[in-house]
Amino acid sequence: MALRQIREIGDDILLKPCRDVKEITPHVRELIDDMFETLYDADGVGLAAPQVGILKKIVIIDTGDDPHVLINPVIISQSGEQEGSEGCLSVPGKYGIVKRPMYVKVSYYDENMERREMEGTELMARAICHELDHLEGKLYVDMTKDGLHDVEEEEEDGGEKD
Amino acid sequence: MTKSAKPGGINKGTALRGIALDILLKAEDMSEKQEDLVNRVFSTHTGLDKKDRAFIKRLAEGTVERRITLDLVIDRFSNVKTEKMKSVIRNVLRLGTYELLFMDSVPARAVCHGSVELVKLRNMMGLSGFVNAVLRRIASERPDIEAIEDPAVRYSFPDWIYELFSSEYGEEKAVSIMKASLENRPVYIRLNITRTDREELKKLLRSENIEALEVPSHPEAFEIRNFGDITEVPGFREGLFSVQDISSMCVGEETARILEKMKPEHFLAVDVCASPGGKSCHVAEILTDYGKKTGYTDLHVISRDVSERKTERLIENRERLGLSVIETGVHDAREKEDGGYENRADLVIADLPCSGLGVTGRKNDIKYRLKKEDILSLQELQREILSNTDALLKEGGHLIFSVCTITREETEEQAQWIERTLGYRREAQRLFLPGDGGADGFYYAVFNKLR
Repeated sequence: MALRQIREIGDDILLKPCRDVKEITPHVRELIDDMFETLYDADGVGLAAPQVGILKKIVIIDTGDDPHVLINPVIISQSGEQEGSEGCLSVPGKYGIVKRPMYVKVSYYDENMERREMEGTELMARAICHELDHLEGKLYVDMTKDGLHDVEEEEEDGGEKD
Repeated sequence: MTKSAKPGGINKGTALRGIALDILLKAEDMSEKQEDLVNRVFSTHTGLDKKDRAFIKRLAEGTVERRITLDLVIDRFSNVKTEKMKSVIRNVLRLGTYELLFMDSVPARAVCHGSVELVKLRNMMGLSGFVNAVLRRIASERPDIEAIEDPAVRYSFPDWIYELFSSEYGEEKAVSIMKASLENRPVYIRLNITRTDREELKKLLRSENIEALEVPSHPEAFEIRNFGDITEVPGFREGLFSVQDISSMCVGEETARILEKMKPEHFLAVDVCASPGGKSCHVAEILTDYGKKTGYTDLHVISRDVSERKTERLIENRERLGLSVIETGVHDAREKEDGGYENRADLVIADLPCSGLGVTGRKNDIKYRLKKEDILSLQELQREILSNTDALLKEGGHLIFSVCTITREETEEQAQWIERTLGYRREAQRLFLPGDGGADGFYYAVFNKLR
């Protein structure tokens, strides 16, 4: 288990489409474990495999309740609309206002390659959309309402350290 | 995606674990009983719903209950031994390890992450990596608790208690007693025969989808399941039943036998350490029913305990169950009798302070608080009380002595002492070991004062 380096904007790998995962090999398991460690270390809510340099359709999300692993995920329905701020671990120090659906339903495979479905609203819907975009080489920076803003210093690393 | 999109604050799982951690940290100095501590901490966190409370309670109590086992597991996977750790780290690891090994519903990653968050929140950033590493190792190896060789460690009992059980009941029985204390305890209720009957209560409970199983050996009891908060169960507020273990019900049942045999026109029972009043109320129900059948009215139960706070609980139960034959009073059973009841009691109920080793499953910090030498001082205290209650009991009256423990000093030795020193005749007795037929560990003996 190890921390992986998070690729940042400017790295071409973030713009490439990912391949389907065919089977769960020990390598894939290790990748998933590492992704979680990296996610928690960076204090994020979601991470896609290309963000650690691997072009595989794997997304992990933890909005605070349970960790989710989504393999080969596809959004099968969505509805509503929400507008709110969004940031990305690959675009440090920035945020932007992005419109997303209020509700999405996603079909995916779990870590045992069993087919599952999951629904999400609000933050979860936003995270699912954001991470799935990564798998197609899309970043939120191209969808903002009015460009990127700087995250205030204290918002970035204040609070829990002192 | 980053967290900046997330509406404020720490996540809920971490917040709940934090409350459990507070309970454990306060429990370490053992100045307060676990039960009181949990209730006090809950009273300061009013925003918690039922599900959150249940999670915290299960987590905190389970962690305390398994503490010795958890420490062994942690020590195997950590370079620093638990006893050398800072108490925050030690208790975060205990909680995390308990979740990993005993709460299947929580995914391992969430446990590791939540524990790390908790350490960061307590300003120990530097140790978050250590906590993460230890918990991840435990999560991936999942050590088999049942494979731990030493039964005392496997079932989280101090060595001396295991040795005591072994010398008394043999090793095999000692192991099954410790094991039983960790299993889910059945909950029994006793119907209030002055207000309802078996069929009626059963119908009421089942109408609310509460499972009510009959208990063949105790016709007034049901084992109930699937009920949530007991005070919300239909019939509870209306005083149709009380919660009581089947072992304790024997005290009332013995009283019924005495009434049946003696058919007294007047009857005075004194319960000397009565709170919260389970046995007093049971005896009062039986006495009320006896009065209804015979037309006798001079039937009384005096229920006493040492403080106002304790008698308040008695009064609460008396009112809820509608038992006018009970009169309550504050009296310290260690004090000599001078309240006017000398030589007047037909029955003395002496359910006395004891080591509690029969109910370690319900009060899971007893086993750590108790010291070996406490047993002899408790034996002495019980004798002091029994010497005082002797003054209450009239010639020919009965004493029912009981304790929720299974040490020889507080059971058989005590019965022999009563025979020898007070000169009573032992008429009946029973010892329940934890794990025998679902009852708590309990002992009672019935004596007749015939000198």
